Amino acid sequence: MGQDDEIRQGANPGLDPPDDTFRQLLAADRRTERGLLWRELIALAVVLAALLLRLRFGA
Amino acid sequence: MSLVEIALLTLVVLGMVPTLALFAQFLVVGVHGVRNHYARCGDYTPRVAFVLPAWNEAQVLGASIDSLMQLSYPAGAWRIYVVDDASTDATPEVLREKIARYPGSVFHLRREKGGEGKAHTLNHGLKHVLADDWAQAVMIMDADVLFEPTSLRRMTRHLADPQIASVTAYVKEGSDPGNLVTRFIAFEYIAAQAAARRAQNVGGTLACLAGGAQLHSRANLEAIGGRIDTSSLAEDTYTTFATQLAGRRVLFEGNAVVWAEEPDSLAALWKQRLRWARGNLQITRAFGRLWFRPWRHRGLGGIGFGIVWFSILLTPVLAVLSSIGLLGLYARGDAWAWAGFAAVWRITIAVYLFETLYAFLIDPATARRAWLQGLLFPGAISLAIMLALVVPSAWTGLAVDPTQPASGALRWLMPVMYAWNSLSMLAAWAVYRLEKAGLPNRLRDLLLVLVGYGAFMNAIAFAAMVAQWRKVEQRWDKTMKSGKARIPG
Repeated sequence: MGQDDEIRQGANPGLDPPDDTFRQLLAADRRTERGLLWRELIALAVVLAALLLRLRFGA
Repeated sequence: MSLVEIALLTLVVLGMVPTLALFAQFLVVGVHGVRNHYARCGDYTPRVAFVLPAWNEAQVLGASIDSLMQLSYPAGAWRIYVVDDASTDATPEVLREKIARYPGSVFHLRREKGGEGKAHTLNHGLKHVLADDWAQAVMIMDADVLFEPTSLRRMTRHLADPQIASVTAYVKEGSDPGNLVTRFIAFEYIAAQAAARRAQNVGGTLACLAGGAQLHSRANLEAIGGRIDTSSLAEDTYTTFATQLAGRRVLFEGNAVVWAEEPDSLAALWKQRLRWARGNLQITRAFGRLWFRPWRHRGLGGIGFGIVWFSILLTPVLAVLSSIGLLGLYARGDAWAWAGFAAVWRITIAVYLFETLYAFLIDPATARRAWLQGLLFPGAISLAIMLALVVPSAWTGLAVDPTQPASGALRWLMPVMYAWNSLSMLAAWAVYRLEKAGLPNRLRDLLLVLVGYGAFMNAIAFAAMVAQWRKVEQRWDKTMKSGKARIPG
């Protein structure tokens, strides 16, 4: 990996004691984002069901 | 099919482009769950300089600085530079108090000539901040914005990847107490930010870094000249384009939340959005050599990005064209008139249902506060048209055969419905004028619910085109804030 591809870590490690905030936030936000995919599928399924119901029972 | 029929139907189809583009954007949002930037994030906490432009912001500045001092971030790794734009209110006194309370963290930069606009004020601050090498990143924000404690940390982690130049946060409407207008905005921001910007992340190109919270690496600011463009009314969008043209990426971080006070009247909202819309028209022209030319820039010149950009920009024009198409077919007694009308509105129903439901699921907290505004977003009249297409017996109740040219007492109804996408803009403009003339808020709310917030946005976009075309003088019209925003919980 060239220098431009390297991931920077803790620019100011001496300023504060290290904590686990980074990993906790990252894990929570990854869960949130993955959840969006499932929520989208739910929303699509509801709309499709509504359309099918309309086709089945609509005049 | 005759040439006239084909031409009129083409207009009808063109009118559907914004709806379909919106649908396509929402479809992509879920992909962000598996295609995002988190794999390249790092525990990176650069020294950050917050630059707050403040022109008579005494009512909001104190709370904003207090929220910044509550950030969960390494001690001493952030500073707040308030650029006082020759304020004539109590802004300097508020600042003096905060400087005394947070020594070494808050700094007062004073401009002697004020009121030139946010970009000029920011440039004064950027010049100062970039003059020494303390700042490794710069947060450009508005004076009223309240940061949630983890928001900065959620943004800086992306700058661990040197390819990322800038990150923007999710700006939520936080007025407490709010009203109908602010809750419409709250719902609008789910679609315009939480959804649309995630979709843009997936596509790799962002249309706009929110002016209320945009974090730049120092390298990026220096690469774009160390200053913000002052030629347009949309300086944040200009910065977004300039950054991406310089070859770096910008990102939206939907989990970094900041809160802002948005306009609570149609008059204030019109003023703010007219500035934004005129700014976007200026951007369209300034970057005219890019559109639909992927060989010039893969993202900004991409076909998909161009379609989304222009479908938003031209929504009011396309709505008018669609109405002309439908009314033309109707006037000819053409069978395609009803077929076109029904198709347009049935597609609109499906997209409305999907978009509204998904928006609620993307941001349930905002949905709890603004669910009614979400449902009423298109307006009660548009919803009635949709309902009439879903429940055919509604026509029987009205004694109207919608497939035939109307007759009798309701003969005016069909043309009005065929043209409603355009007429609603006119009606929304009338509500705005009535409010300015002193219409009581309760009546204004009732009328806004009838015509729809979406129609109001389209009316502003149309007015912006007219203003640009007539070369109406562009002034920096500041949105007045009163300090109503709160971080919930």
